[in-house]
Amino acid sequence: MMASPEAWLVLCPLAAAALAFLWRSRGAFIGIVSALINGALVAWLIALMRTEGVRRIEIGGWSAPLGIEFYADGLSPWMLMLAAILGVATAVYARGYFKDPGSWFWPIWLMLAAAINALFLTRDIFNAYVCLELLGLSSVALIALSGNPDALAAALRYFFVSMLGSLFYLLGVSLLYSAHATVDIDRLRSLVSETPATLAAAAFMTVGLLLKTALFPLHFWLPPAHANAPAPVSALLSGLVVKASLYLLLRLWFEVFPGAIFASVAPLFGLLGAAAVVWGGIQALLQERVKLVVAYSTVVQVGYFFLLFPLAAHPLTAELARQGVIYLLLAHAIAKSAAFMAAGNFIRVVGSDRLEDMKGAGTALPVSMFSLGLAGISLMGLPPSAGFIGKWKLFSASLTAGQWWWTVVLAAGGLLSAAYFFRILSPALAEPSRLGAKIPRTMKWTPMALALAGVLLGFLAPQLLEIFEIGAPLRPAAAMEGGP
Amino acid sequence: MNAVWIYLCTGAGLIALGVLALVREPHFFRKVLAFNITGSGIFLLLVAAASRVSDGPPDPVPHAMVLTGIVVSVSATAVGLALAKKYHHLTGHTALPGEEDEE
Amino acid sequence: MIAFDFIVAAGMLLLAWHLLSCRDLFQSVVLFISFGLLMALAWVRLNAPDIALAEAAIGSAMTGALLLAALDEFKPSAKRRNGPGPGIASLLFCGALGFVLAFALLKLPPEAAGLRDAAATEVSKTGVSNPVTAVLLSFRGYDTLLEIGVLLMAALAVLSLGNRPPRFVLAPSRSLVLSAMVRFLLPILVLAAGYLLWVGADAPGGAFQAGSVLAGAFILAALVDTGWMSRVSDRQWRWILAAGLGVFLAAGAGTMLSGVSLLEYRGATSKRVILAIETAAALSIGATLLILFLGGTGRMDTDGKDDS
Repeated sequence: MMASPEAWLVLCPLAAAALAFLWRSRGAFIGIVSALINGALVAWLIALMRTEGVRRIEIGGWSAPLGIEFYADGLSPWMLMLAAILGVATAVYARGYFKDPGSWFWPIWLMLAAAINALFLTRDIFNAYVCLELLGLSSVALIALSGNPDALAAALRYFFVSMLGSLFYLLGVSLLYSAHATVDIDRLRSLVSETPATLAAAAFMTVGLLLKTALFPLHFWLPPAHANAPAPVSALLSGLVVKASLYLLLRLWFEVFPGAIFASVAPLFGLLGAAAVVWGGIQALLQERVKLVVAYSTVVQVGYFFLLFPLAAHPLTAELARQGVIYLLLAHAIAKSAAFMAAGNFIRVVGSDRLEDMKGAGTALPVSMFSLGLAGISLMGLPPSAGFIGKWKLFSASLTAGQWWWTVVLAAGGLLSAAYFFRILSPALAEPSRLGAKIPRTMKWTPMALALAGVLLGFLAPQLLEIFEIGAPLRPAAAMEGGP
Repeated sequence: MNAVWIYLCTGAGLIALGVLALVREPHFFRKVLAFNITGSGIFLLLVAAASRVSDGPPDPVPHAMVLTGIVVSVSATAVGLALAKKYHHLTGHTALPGEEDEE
Repeated sequence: MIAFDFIVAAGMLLLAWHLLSCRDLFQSVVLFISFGLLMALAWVRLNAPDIALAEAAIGSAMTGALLLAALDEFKPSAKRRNGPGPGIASLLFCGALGFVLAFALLKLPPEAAGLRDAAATEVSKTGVSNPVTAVLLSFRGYDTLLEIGVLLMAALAVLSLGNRPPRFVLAPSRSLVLSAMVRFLLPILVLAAGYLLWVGADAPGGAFQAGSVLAGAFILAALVDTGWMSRVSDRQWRWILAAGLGVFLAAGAGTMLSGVSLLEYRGATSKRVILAIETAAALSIGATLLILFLGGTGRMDTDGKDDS
């Protein structure tokens, strides 16, 4: 049982958080070591899964429904990998960003890392609630970190949204337990039917998680929260935290709720996703602050993820859509973090994040400029980036399914993102200025490394998707009914 | 009709009241109160639903879940109040920008 | 008894409505504390004595204390907006929510399936006989590990915000009567916490109830005199706050390293491990609730380098 990377993936960051609290002046060191250990543990888990396939472990030796189980099919290591990559990058960047090595950032961020890992590994929807709360409180504390009134207002707004979301989720969990006496995803899957309790649970949990995921029209809290946080925090929130509630939503809709309801809500999710892409894109074009542009771009990307629902409902295109969205998730996490970090560098040099003040910032910070450009390529979905692989798969899925209208959304989203990235890049590339760039090297090269990874991951698609397909996650229940 | 169903409906009522206040009340302090009332409603619902047994002791699993929930809720309350206090200290506002109402 | 339940239920709904809509924030807090006590009655009626204890101690008293400490910052008699009242849309939405919920609940099968029998057959292996403690620290011990993490996270968040402690703590009362009363109450409270902790294995009680009684003792002591708090160094405070999570993590790592599943303990060892975890957790819970109440010890939040 020692050979269980799952348990260590939760224990290690929690222990690191406690240590970073006890020895606050060593926070940065503890954070970086913990991120590296985390990366090694994820690699270990993936190596094990490549030979064993799906892994399931009874915690405390108690099997569900009485106990809680760890569960990992391809989706879990995929998300964990994404969290691990961002974890290392954030740690390295934050070490330069927070000049005080005893910043509260370190223990709080490590708590967030523990919550994320725990959420991606649990098979228990009540345990997932505890993870969500740990994640929510740590995110709130990170947003408020700078202590200025804008950041506090954003943190408060996020706090109330996040708590309302968690309450709705918990209400759903309570209804499901009341009806079926279990909170284990696999047992629920075999028990649920279209009773009023299940339908109400589905509605409450969906609304709660959509609030946290910031799908249009429930996205109102995201731009101020992500734009007012310190740069490494924005990178984490946009790259990772919105994906945590999305992950849970995907697990619920693909693995718990009955196929018949799935089919009837799938088009609605697609429609909201499409609206998010268009609305978010237009809003991003209208913003005057760099970080707000990047934050609205997250609203757009969340919209793309929801195109999975209508396309996965179609048996011919389920696989393409699944892989497309999962690749977009990866591409967005990496490119968006790079973009926020590069924007953070500009802001540090310019002293403001208004677009009009960005004149010449690119000449002063050529590396950050180039990273932002590369991140933009992946976010727009240009070849050969990871974003391109994802969008291309979604594009083909839409055409194969005969739902051509999604291709219009994808194309419009791409054009809009080209336009708003150009708005950041063009003033920055204008006349040279005499801004004294004093940025630590780690802060310059971390977004660069991430942005490059975002482009290069486009070449690794077949190998990486092999990991994702272990145990064939994200098959809609409807598609499963015919099979064994 | 027995006691369980009374408490089930009370839970539903508390949830509706709490959510209404959470959405409508601009003052941070009342939002935190509303959040606690909603939470209590959910806990009540969970335990009452598990008490639908004709005889013998009730199911301990929801009881443990509610204990966990109460601790999580007091933690969240503390964080929310600390944020609101600091925001009020810095700006003098007791509600989010765009929702201000009083003073 | 049905009449009694009706009164409790109606009382809760009325109090909730009133405390959410009354003008005076101080009155809201008082009503909230009474609401918590009615909740505790409801828990007793629902055969949930463990929750009743926790509700009275944490849900009502501790949350009430936190709210009162926050009122020190806000004007207690803040006027409510005299607008058009709750909007029709949100009224309709919440009304619908309540009805959907009530409908779904009334359509539940009349008999809950539940995990009672499964828990009853396995409880003997856990070394404790109170089934709720068995769920909290054995069957679903992993939940509780994360929950102790949530508590520490709340302490981190509050400390990182670095608010001042409430004025009534900074300028403590010098009343002799109060300090004499506290001196008399303190040992009783600490004993009560110890008793709740010990009895939790076999009867209602446990780490959370004990921890909140301990927190009550700490807060009373702080109300009379904060001098004792600075005799404990910041570093020592941090160790106390992290002790619960630390011992829990050690139990997790220990089980893993000895070749069994995470947090897998059975029989006689189980009882010892559970008691060790609960003792450390109760201490940390007490200290955490004190920190949450004060909004920091007044020094820990400003100085992070005293230990380097």
